[in-house]
Amino acid sequence: MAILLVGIAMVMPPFAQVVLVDASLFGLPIPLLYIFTVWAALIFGAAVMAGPLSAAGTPAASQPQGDGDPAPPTNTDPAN
Amino acid sequence: MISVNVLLTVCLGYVVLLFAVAFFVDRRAQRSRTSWLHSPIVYTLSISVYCTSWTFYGAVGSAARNGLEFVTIYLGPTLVFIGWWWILRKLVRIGRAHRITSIADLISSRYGKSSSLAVLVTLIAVIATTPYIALQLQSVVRSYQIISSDADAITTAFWVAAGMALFTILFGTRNLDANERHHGVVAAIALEAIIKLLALIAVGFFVTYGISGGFTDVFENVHPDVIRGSSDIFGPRWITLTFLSATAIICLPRQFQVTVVENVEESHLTTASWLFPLYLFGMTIFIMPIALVGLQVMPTTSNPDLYVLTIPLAYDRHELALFAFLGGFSSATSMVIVAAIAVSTMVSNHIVMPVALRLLHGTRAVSGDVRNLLLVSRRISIAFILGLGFLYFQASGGSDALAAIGLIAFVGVAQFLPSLLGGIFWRGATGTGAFAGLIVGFIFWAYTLFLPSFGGDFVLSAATLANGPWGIDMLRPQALFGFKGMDSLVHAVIWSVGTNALTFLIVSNLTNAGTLERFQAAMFVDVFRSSGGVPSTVATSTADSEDLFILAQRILGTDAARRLFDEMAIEQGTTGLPQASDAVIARLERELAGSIGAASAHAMVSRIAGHETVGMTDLIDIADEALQLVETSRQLSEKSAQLERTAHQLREVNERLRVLDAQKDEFLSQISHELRTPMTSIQSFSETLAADDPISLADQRRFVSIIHDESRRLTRLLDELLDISRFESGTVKLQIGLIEIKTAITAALDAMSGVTRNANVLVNIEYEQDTLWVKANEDRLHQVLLNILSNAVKYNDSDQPEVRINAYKKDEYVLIDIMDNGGGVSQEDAATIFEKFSRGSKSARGKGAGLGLPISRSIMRAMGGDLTAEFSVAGTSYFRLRLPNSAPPA
Repeated sequence: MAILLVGIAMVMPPFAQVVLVDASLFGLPIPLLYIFTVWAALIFGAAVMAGPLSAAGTPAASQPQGDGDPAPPTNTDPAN
Repeated sequence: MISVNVLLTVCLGYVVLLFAVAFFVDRRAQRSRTSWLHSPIVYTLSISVYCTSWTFYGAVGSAARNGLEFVTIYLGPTLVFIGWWWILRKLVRIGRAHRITSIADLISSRYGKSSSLAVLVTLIAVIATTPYIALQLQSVVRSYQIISSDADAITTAFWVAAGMALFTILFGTRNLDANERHHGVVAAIALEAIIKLLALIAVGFFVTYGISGGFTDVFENVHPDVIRGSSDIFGPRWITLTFLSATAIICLPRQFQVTVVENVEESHLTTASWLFPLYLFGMTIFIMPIALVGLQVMPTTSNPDLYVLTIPLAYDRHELALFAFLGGFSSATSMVIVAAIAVSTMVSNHIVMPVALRLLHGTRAVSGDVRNLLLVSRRISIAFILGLGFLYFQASGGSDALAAIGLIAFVGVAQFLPSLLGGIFWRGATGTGAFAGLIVGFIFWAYTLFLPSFGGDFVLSAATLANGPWGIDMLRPQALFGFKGMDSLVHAVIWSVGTNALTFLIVSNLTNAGTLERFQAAMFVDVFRSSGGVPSTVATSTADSEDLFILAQRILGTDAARRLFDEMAIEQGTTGLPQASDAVIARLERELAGSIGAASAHAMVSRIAGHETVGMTDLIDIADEALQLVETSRQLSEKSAQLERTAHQLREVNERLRVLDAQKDEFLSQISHELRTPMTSIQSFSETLAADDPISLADQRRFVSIIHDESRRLTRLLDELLDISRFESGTVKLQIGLIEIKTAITAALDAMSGVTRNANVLVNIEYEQDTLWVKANEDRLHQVLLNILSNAVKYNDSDQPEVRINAYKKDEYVLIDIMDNGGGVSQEDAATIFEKFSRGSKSARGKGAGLGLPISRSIMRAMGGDLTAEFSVAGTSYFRLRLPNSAPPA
């Protein structure tokens, strides 16, 4: 959840407007470089967080589909 | 130039490959050998159906025209997947628990399995999806025309649409799997996802490093406005587009299909949470370079929407152009196939089936007849949806107006968002609220965005667009109620989604949900807390198993129905057909819902089982029962605590009884001793007298005198015992009168004046007042005073014995303190001197039976007063008599 709020804040005005400058860095326009860097960082963050979440979510989620519907997992709340 | 024959051969070969993959995987799935399909990577790739030809070709066009703005279309889904995937997880959990077949099914199921809501959602989905399908057809046709310039657009579009319809019908309706899973289709989509990603990256790589000298070279000398776009980035339009794309990834029917319905394992979402954003990142990394290079190297007449294809062609890279064409073709076909499956499922389940079932009602039931009807209706629906897309393409003449349709469709499906989120997070959301919100949102969407997109050619004239209907400026579709100067998309989103959400909230608050709706609300909102296997309906029924079995056969087919009923019979521990319990009916309804949708399943099962949903009063009864149970449990725990307290009291009483028993034993032993002493004396003297031995007269007299004294002592002892027993049992009723305390004390002192004189005792008396009146029995008070005073004299071993009496009033009582200078009693003795036969540590002198003090205290208490042993500050003890004070007699 925190990563979502950080992500929204980073790519939305007014925060993103700070980088709205007509300059280049490493030969790339700063707004473009900024957006793609933040994007890559968000993906990296999500991938890092997915590890423990996946481990926690697997027992309940991997139960067979059907009438034995999976018992509700109590420890997979992403808010934790 | 690529020859048309080569292109057609490659295309055909690719299509054959897709058919082969789908066929192969379906065959494997039937034999349950699909473990590799159950991979999170395949799942993620199938979600990439989000990237249509609108992305593949259109994103470059958008970048060329509006700069960085195209990124928003991918930022929204990225944000949803990285941070909001638990919403998707909840949807997936609900989808699995309730056998949800589509987004219309989910919304209808949540709001009491309402068929009208299902129809409304289906209609909106059809209206929003049809132009989108037309857009895909257009992109395939245009890219084909680039290579084969003489190809007829309509003919090409027709064959493309027909081919897709054939594929979708073949692999999308092979079975009516419980959860509408299409393994073959998913595998083909995953393959297409890889092709389109590789194609776009290949073109991007060629453009960036083949034509230009790398990223730095591409962006060199680029004017900042090209990046910022015409409407400047990071403004209201940026926010709106991000919001719309975030909404679309949840609400688009095809996304719901791949993300929720086709999900085989909930945990796959965890991988998709980062892998799908990474896929989007890969798809977009070269968009800007392709657009910029295209703008530089391509003639100005060249359409930026087709740079991906035209740039390789311009540089004679035919194999790359062919690959790019396949990428675009993949993007278009995967979207069309999945959208057709998703929407046709809705159309057949929520529109065709209810009508068909009504028509079928009364005809002879044949095993699998409904199933066959369903398959036919689904196939016709697919053909209908694609036909509609084709007709739309034909009607629009392949105009550029189609390019904007992607965002229009996004706003259209965004109307589902309030009902969807409200449905899974807010128990108070009602079906009426959802219906009203959807209608209002849909009307505003159509009026402010969809109809104006035709530019005055359809329903709304150009004059109406410019001046408002009947010239009313306030009603201008793109400046409604004076909202001027705003981007038309932002304007439409604010009006449609805003009014939709507001209406949904207000109407939900004003209306009450039905019983089934409330029940479903609880099941959906608390899906993680509920067991998931509980019945999806509250029902009381007297259904016949035979009828239910026939119903199952009609929808699922004989074999599947047989398997299901055998399974349920085994669970019940019976053979043959299972008992038609509520659990069985609920399970059956759920299974059927997986094929025909919750609303139809509910309607059919209800009709056959003839069960009624439980009324509100019954639900209240159930709640009451639960409350009663809680109350009973509370009472039980209270009783248990009470029992424990009682047991504790009993233990204490028992302990006291033991002590009393011991005291009684001691008392009996004491009394035997006390009685025995005079008796022994009397016995021995009377024996001496009765003997023949001569005894002098003087001795005779002495002996008789002793016998007499001992007899009197015995009598006195017995009198005292009698007194004690009477006072302790409370049988004595003393006559209480008014007594003046000075008189009473003087009388007592007079009575024992002989004793005091003999012992030479000095008596000091102090009275606080001249007259102090008490309530007492005169004789008994006299007895008590005598007893205490004689004790003071009897046990006083001082050389100059002295007794002090102090009478005074305190509160409601008159206190008489009697103290002597004989040393008093010790603190330890004070605790026991009022017990029978206790004579304190000075008892050795044997001056009494030890009954005086217990009797005195009993008497005092019987008169409403008390007798206590007190200690002065100096530590000397004294006796205190307390009696109720009284006013002097009148």
